[in-house]
Formats: sequence, C-alpha cells, structure tokens
Amino acid sequence: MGAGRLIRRILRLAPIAALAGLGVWTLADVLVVDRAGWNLGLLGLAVVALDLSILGFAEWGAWPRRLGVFLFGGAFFGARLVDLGVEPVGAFAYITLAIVYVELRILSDRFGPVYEGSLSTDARSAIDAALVRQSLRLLVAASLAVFLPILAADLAIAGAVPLRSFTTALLASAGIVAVVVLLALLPVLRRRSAGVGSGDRVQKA
Amino acid sequence: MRTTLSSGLVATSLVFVVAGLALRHWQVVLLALPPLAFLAVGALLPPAPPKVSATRLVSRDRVQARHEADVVLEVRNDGPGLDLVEILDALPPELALVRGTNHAVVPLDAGETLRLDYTVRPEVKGDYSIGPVRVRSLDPLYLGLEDATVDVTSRLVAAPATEDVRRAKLGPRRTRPWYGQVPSRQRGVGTDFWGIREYAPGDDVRQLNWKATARLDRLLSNEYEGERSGDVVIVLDARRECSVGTDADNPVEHGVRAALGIAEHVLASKNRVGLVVQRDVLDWVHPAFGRRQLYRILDALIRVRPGGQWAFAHVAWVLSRFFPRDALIVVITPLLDRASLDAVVGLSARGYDVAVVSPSPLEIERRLAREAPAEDAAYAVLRMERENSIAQLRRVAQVVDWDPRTPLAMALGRGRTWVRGA
Repeated sequence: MGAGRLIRRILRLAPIAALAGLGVWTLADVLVVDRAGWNLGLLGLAVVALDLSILGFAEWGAWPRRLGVFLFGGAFFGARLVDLGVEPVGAFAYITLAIVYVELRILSDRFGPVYEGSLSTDARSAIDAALVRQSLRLLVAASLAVFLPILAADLAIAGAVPLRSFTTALLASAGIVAVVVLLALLPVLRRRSAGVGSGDRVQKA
Repeated sequence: MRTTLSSGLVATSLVFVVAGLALRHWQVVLLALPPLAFLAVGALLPPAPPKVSATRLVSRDRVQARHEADVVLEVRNDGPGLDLVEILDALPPELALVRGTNHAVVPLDAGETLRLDYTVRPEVKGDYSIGPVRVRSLDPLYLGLEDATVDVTSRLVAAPATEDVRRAKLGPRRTRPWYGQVPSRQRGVGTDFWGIREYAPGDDVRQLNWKATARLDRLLSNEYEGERSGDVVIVLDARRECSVGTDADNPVEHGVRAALGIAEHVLASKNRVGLVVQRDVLDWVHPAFGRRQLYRILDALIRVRPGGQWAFAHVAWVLSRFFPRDALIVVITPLLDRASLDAVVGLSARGYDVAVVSPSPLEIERRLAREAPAEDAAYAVLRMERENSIAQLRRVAQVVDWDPRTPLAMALGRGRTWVRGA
C-alpha cells in the first residue's frame, strides 16, 4: 500500500475512531446509572446521539454529526450529575476527546482531498510536513487541555486557591469568563489594530 | 475571522461556568478549562491575512472534449510567512482532474513559491474558466482563518467531438446559381453526362463527342449536368425538455456532435450552411461558405446547453425572415414532445424541404436504467410511441432515428432517402 493511500485511510479512520471512543465511553457510563426514570432517558439520549452520528457519516451533512456529539455530551454529563458524580480527570479527558474528534474531522476534511490526487514530490513533502506539524500541535493542545485543568484542580484541593468558598468561586468564574471573551475577541482586535478590512482581501495578481 | 469551532468552544466554556455557578459545583466550573486550553493554543499562532500573487500556465487554450490539458499554477507569498495556508485553484465541475492536484494545504514562508502541476480533462464541450485562486490562511487548530482571492483566470475552450459523416450522402435538394457539387438536373458545368447537341462555335474541343461525330458525320458536343451549390440550415433543438440523461450523454450533446458533423460535410461539398439554436436564447448563424463558417458554427455550438423554452413558432419566424426559402432544413431534435412534431409538419407545410435527425432519448435512458422487467415493458411502449411519431413525420420529411451509440453515418446510410434529386 502506498504511503499516500495509508495516510488517506488514517485520515478517514481517525475521526471515526475518536467518535467511536466517545460513544463507547458515554454508553458505558449511561448503562451503569441506577436511578429509575433517568437511566432509560439517558440511554435513549445516547442511542439518538449514536444514530445521528451514524447518519452524519452516511453523507447526511454536518448537522446530525454536530448534534450527535452534543447529545453524547449531554448523556455523559447527565449521567455524571444525576448519579455517578463528576470525576474531574475523566470529565477533562472526555471533553478533550470530543474536541479532538472535531479537530480530527476538520483535519480529515482539509487534508483528505489533497491526498486523493497524485502529487509532485515537492508538493507532497510540503503537505506531509504540514500534516505532521498539525498533528503535533493537536497533540500538544490535547495534552494541555487535560493536564492544565488537573493542575488547577490539584491547586484547588490543596488549598492554594480557596475555590470552595462561594465568593472566590465567583471571582474565579469571572476571571474565566474574561479570558474566554478576550480569546474570542482576539482575532477581531488584532485585525482592527492591523487595519485590515474585508476590502483588502482581493488582490490582483 | 472566527470559525464555528471557535465560537462553539467559547460557548461550551461559558455553559460550564454558568452551570457550575448554578449548581454550586466548583468541579463543573473547572470543566471550562479544556476548551479554553484549545482556544489559548489557537490564539498563540493567529492566521496572518494572506498576500499572495499567482500565475497560471495552461498548455492549450483549445482542446477537444475528453482530451487533456496541463495546468501549472505558481503561487507566491508576497506577505508575511503563513503558518498554514490552503490553496485551491477553482475548477468548473465539468473539468475532471486527471493527474496532480489543484488543492494544497502547506506552510508558505515569506517570498516562497508553491508550484502545483495538474492535468484536467473537459468531460463535455464548453467554454470554461479556470480560477480564481482561493487562498485561506488558517491557525493550527482551525479556530481562526483569513481568506483571500487572487483573481487570475484562464480560458479553456473544449470543442465538441465531430461525427464523421464523410461517407454519408447528404446535401441540399434545391440548388442555387453558384457552382458546387450538387447535381442540379440542368445543363451546365459539371462532370456527369447529360446529353449531346450540335457543336456551337466556342465549344471546347474536349467537349466534342468523337464517336457520335463520326457516326453522324457532323460535329456534336457533349453536354453535362450542371453542379451547383445549395443551402442547408441546421436547427438544433436544445430546449429544457431535451435534457434527458447525463451531462455528457444527452440528446443535446449528441445533437451538437451531429450538427457539427453535418455542417463540416456540407461545407466541404461547397454548400452554404446556417445554424439556428433553440436554447436559453434563440441564436443563429447566417448561411455562408467555407472553413471560417465552420468555426463560426463551432463557436455557436460550444455554448449550447439544454435550457430555455423557445417555441418553434419563433424558429419558423427566424427561418422565414433571415434564411433562404429553398434551403434544406435539418432539424436535430429528440422528438420528445408534440411541439417538435408539429413544428416539422408546419415547416413542411410552408414549403421547406425538411429533414429530421433524431438522437433517440429512449436509447440514452435505457442505458442509464437498471435491468428490470418493468423497465423493458416501459421501453417497449415508449419505443412503439416513438416509432409511431416517426412514421407520421416520414409522410412530410426525411427522418433519421439515431441511436447515439452508433455512428451517425450508419443511421444516415440506413435511411437512404436523405438526398433526393431536384
């Protein structure tokens, strides 16, 4: 099997594997819920999510896939909040896996078609390098997404930050909201400061 | 510009924060951190607005449909280095990518040039535009992007394949005063023997019939059948109704091939050819002689796509207003509706010499349909209806029922009634 075909196959299978992991994890948690009434509801939610995800892969468009991921998340956190209790490390890993699935999907959509055609050696090596770099960055981001919150939780439990009082929790939340808003606005602010408008986007060769 | 994923991560973080506060559960508040970590990594390497220039070289600007053309695209980064950039040379859907790629996702340093080599093949005839080049600068986690378009386009004209009808005998029935290759049933300049007459001063010595002169003991000259030229007007039915089959295999595409083959053959026989096309607009090419006229007709046919609903009454009006009365009208139509049948009958009633070439839509649909007894029954019924229509038309016109899988020359030869003496 050629390297191009192998990469193409890996790109196609990686998001499916991530989603399968997400589904299995959710179903495993939902099946052990012991509270009457909730267990069937959550199981139904997980099954609907599974159906939507399968529909999404069968060329039904993006929305069933997205909704499927949200419903998986809903079923998982529902089970945790209702019966099993929130276990931070597992929850961080679960959220990270969900985000990694979306990122892998984007990576597959972006790089998959490139490997469909026959490529010149130069173009091939440049694209290979870009793919490896993207994969490494995704790995770094995923590691940070798991370990940083664990560190924060450790600090909270150790009492370095007294997060258990309601006032400090409010302050910490306000800080997180500020960071979120800042990160969300960063591209817009950067573009304004650089003076780049939509009119500059079309250049003549 | 933010992407949907970026907005989704922000929303997820906020949901966890709000839920944590509402539930008074600090661990739920901490769940906002994983999405934040992704946002932070994405924000470290924001995408720069791409400033690129591009040049494109196409090996040929005119090809025949289903023949290949090579394209070389060079994209140069004139701005700051781009961490990850997606480059796409936009291709119309009719151009199939045979080799190479028109799409790349690569890093592009300042001043660096990316070269993309690829080969395209137009599946159907047409006048295509390759480009523009779309460039998208991305951040590592697809949380932000910047788009740019380099407005470089190249033209690629795909000419339709021609039906080879050189061996078919087809031509105008009525002739005009110009010399040509159509026997006129009148004395004149030609090669076919017509009769003998008394020698007249000025007759060429080569015209003398020596045998008759010796037998009757007086000078006698041969007379020949004059060969003249005539006019042929091709009417191509490309209305929306004719859109049966696929882009490459439909009555209009086959009609275009037939029209071009007939025009080439008739022009080669030193006749004039004109063209009327019923499509989104009703356009026509006036009758003329020669190679240049063939190119005019070819240019008109390249743009033909099924569409529009021009009534045949307009075609009849154009024919009566702009085209010679004694021309042979070759109507190329799949005969899918009553209007086309009535139009042929109407043209014949107005005194036109009409011939019909009908690319069979039934055969096209049959090829696309799956094998099933019900399909066979439907085909048999429709075949009968079509044969009935053609039999009606044969009372007023010469009709060639053509299965586009077979050469048109074969269908014309089967008819044997295409050319009638004047």
